[in-house]
Amino acid sequence: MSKNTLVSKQYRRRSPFKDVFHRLTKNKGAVVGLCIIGALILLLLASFLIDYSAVTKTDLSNRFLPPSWQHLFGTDDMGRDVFLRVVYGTRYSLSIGFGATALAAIAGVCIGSVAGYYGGFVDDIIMRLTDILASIPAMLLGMVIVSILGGSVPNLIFAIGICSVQYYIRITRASILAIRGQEYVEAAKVIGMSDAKIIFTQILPNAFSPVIVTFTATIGIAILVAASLSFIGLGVSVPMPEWGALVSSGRNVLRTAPYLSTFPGLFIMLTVLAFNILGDGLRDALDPKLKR
Amino acid sequence: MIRYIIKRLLYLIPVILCVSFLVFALMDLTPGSIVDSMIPSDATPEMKQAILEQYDMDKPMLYRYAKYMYHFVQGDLGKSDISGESILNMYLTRLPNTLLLAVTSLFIAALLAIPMGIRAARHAGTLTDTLTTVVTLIGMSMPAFWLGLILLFIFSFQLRWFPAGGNMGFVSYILPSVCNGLNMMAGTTRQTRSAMLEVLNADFLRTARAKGVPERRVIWKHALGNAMIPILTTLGGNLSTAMAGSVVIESVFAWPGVGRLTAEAIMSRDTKLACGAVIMTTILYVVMMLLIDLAYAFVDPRIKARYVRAKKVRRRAVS
Repeated sequence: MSKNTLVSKQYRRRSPFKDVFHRLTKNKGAVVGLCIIGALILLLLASFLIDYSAVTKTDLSNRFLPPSWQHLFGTDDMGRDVFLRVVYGTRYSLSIGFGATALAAIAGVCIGSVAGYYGGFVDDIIMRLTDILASIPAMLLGMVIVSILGGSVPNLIFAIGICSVQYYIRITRASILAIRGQEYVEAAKVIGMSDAKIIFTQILPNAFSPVIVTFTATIGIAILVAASLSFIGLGVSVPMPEWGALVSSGRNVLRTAPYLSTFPGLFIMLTVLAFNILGDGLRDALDPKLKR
Repeated sequence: MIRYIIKRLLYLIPVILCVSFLVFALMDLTPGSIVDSMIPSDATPEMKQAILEQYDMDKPMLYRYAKYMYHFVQGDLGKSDISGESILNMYLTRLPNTLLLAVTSLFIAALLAIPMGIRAARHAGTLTDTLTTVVTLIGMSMPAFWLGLILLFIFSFQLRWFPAGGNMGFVSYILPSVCNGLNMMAGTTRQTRSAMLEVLNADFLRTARAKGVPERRVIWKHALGNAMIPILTTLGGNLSTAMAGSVVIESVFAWPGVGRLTAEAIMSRDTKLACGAVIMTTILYVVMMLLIDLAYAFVDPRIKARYVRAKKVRRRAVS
């Protein structure tokens, strides 16, 4: 008799990943979020077909043209096509959002694991330092770091990464503290596994769902902070079409050409919205209390 | 309780010292400081040395930090590299603008968020709930500066109801407060909804209803009172961030607050002003966080009881 006939379809075991994905696809919001993110990734790929000179080339005879079929989002003070610039700018927001969050997550998970697993003195030192980092308002810390390093994409990734690392340290530490005393961790110690191997193969996989939820939620925040920094003139600088910088460049002509700021801002909002609803969906899908 | 407050206040000292050292060190590392620009390109080594000595640049950074903090605790933050004004004065004249803006925004946020969150929780799963979720998600995803520009365009440029920037009395507060308030509202509504959902099915609410307590009182006193801690945390976090200067909103509305002062100082490389402003703001921020922690005791008698009980136990142990 084959295995399939013994276990009814309903009770057949899915892999945890498939299980979460299945629950995620049942959440309408998360599907919408995934679709928007998919569309943004397509836009990002399409933007590699655009030449950088095409987005910076000025054409003074076509300044401040309102949106039309020829220039979907109009043209700016230098006669550059805003649609092309917005599409080209996708790479900055997405790379800063992903980069900064990934940096914070990797560093935070490692530091938080050490703090949670070893406890005692190491934990005290790490947590006090985290408290200090958390006592500086994120935007201020970001501004200070970017002003020292200069406004470029890698520097923004670094600055925003540092600002959000504290969340990951705290979350990882908390979930590891809850798991540390479990029997399977004791068992791993007894069979002589190294600490690093215990952390990476036994503890972290079981402590990972809050990290994933925080990851999607902080991508949105990272994109917003990056755009804000560029907006006040400390992030990616003007000739590069970063979305925050694009909104900022339109503010002086807001009275006559409001579309210059509107469209890039709309893109920032859509991107952040997509990550936020995906984050909500993931939280629900990963929450064991809500299973089925 | 007082012992606890004193303990927490003492704990702030190392935090402030570490933060100020971090900020001072970062600012000190900044290339292209005002001292570098004071050295002419044809300066003789002696001249260069004299200028460096005048600003203690020949001494280790730790010495400069100690000297800075020695003056700092006496209320002397030095003078701005650019305008020559006293930094403390510059900061204190701008601070009331920021504080007032933070309080009015918080007021707007709380006034909108708490009723919305309660309504969404009471009608969970209905259209009202879904609409609230959508509105708050959009609110959370909207960049504050973009919302500010949209408000400016509609209410200032098209309808001409409010001035476009600066602080010209009461009318000037409306647009920035609404912008900041809407921004805070989103997160608070979500928090109110989820906190209320946790308590709405509690047994004590059923008891209250069975006793004949009017529904309005059941929700607003019994339920909200128990859901207040997470709401307070969110509102408090928002307030401290706003007090620390909503750099972006102050920049959009040309608001003469501390956030904009800091941003301008950083951008014009006025290192001393930037350093002083960041440290002052951070102190304000940690003190606010402490006040919120203490506010928990007033909102939740259980937390207050914990402090009081600790005191009683201690007294008993002494006697």
